[in-house]
Amino acid sequence: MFRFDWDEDSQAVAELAREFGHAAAPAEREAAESGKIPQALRTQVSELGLLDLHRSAEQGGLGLPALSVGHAVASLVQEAPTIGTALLLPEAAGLFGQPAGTALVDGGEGHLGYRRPQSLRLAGGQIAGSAGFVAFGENVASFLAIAATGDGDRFCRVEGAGMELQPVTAMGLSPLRLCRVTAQAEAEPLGPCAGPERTALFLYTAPFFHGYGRAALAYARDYAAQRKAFGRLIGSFQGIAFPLAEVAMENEAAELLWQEAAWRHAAGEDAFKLAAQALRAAKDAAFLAVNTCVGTLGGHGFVDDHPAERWLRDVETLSALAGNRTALGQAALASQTREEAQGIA
Amino acid sequence: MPDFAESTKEQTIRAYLHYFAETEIRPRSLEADRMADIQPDFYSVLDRAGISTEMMPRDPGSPRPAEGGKTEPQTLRTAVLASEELSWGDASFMLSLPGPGLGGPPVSFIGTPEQRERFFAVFQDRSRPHFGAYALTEPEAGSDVAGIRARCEEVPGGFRITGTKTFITNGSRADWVVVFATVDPELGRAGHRTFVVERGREGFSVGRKHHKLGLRASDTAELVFQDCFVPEENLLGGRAHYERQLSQEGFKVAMATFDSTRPLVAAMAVGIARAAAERTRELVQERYMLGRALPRYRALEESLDDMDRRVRAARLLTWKSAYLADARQPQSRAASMAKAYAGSQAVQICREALELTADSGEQPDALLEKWFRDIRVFDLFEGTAQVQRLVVARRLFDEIGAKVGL
Repeated sequence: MFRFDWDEDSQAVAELAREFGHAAAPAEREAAESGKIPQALRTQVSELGLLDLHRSAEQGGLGLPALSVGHAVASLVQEAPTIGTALLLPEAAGLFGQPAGTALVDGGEGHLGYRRPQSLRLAGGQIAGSAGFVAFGENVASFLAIAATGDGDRFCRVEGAGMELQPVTAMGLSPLRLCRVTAQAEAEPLGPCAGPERTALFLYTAPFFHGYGRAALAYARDYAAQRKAFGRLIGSFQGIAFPLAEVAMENEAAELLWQEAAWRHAAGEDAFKLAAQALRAAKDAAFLAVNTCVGTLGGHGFVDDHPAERWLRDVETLSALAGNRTALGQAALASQTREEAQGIA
Repeated sequence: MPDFAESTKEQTIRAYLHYFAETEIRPRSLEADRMADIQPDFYSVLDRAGISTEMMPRDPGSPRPAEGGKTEPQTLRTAVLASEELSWGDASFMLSLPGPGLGGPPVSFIGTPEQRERFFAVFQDRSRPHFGAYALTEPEAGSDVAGIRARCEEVPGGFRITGTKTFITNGSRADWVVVFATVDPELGRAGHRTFVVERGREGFSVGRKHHKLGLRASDTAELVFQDCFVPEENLLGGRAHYERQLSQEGFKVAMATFDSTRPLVAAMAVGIARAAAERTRELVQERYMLGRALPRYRALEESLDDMDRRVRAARLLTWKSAYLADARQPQSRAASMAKAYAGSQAVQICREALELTADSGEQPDALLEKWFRDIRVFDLFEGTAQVQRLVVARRLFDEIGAKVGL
């Protein structure tokens, strides 16, 4: 029978993540402006094990299921969105058995033959080409690249040599250290990157958006509960309150879609379509939330006295990293409509 | 940990009700809509199938006697599954299921043991369908529950009720109606009292049956109370109940009813939206335009997929509110979110279904046209879309203890 509560272990880890995020929150603005995260926070998050939640026990992680990992990620990001994302998103390679310090470079075509204008090609133990928008943590020692082979995407491991990194300036998430990668290097071919692996990536990414959605809703609500206009708290105006209710609904809907996708993935079902839908919903909900937050603050939302404008930039940058809506929409179509269409065409 | 597995029992209920909806409800649907009534033979079919609102929990989470004297927990989670499947067939039929209907929760929540036994007893009679109803809305007070004007005046041995109730589901055929009235409108919510009024009481009459945009086969009536005497034993919970609470108990009963029924209404909207999305997919697969199968047009593919996603999201919100109710956790916000989201998304989905299928001057699919009319009320009854957003926003501010005056 379906249920929606969290077990004690997942709740405890999420609470630990939230507490870390809460403690890190005062450093958010400085981190965003400097593009650097204080070393003390990097050390602390590592010692707490929050970078390894998704890694297996053999790799020194907790080996938590995607549901618990996402719960913790969203809990941390809701408290410290920019720092939380910059710390945890570059750890995505850990989903595929890679140790910390390995950057994921997604230069494949995608599960559906979705062609990117630039991509990495893998042939004969060599990787070549470029990938447009890659998030790096600090201290990157090696790369887990996803490259096209002509017969689907594959993972391959690449050491530093032959990987040229060109820093990219994005509108947000400066501590992520975004780069463009140009590769001409030897590569160790690994397994395929197909539906299940893409599903895992979608599921790992969506909770970052959930965190932004929660943060923006809470900030806008708190502001509406103390700011007055026309002699009244602005939260008393339905023109302010109803959009907040809308955000709450979209946030919740997006999180539930993600929960179901993660649960079905863990149960061994093909959850590719659900995960793509969940990620797209998460992106849309997060944008609605931060955009509504900016609007609730009025002119104050447009200036950097408040974090709303930064979160808006962050979410757009994160959206670009996660894959555009059209690509995700097409991905979601794969397992049903497209097959049906091909069947009758 | 969140869990999305349906139990064997739930799978069985869903499959059984889906089969029933497909074979017994759908074939009657369009004719019932034209007649603005349910075919009389349907009730004998329904009775043989053992389906009624008894499937819906009167007191969520607590054991209740089942048929044959067995006792088993009945959950709101099971009820929302049932609601979705039957509404997939036709929501008018779902609303016309014999049983206490919306009148059930208030009788369960605050009725005395004697009142529960007395008012629910009628549903044991299988010789003909029996209905309960819930009369809160008035011509001048719908979403503004606190503003009801129907008066109840205390007289020796009971009360006299005067006022008009409107938009009452199953109102013209109900054996009894839960009626909300006020001892003094100036008292606001504190003045509310809740009664059960049986059909046939002097001063209680059916005004008119409403002609509606959709859900036409569902009985929706105006009820008129003119100095209608109601004995004291029909005051729900008894006088002691109100003396004990002293304030807003009647209003709380009305709101508690909505918290338990909004997930059911949300599930109905999910059922209709799902039916429309499925039918649209079937129809577009049969059609070609400019020599090309319609599903090969990417924009259309995305629309179909988006329908699917929104149906799924609405269902999950509905399930969560039902889960919280079963777990006896506060779920007012979740219930309103489910109702608001499912209602508004279902309206959009049904409209898009018409947009995608009514091409080349062909008549729109009759079922899609009907569902488009049916679905509109899901943004209106059981609290309008605006009221749901009001509830959600208030609960958001409640979380931080803020009194913003919303």
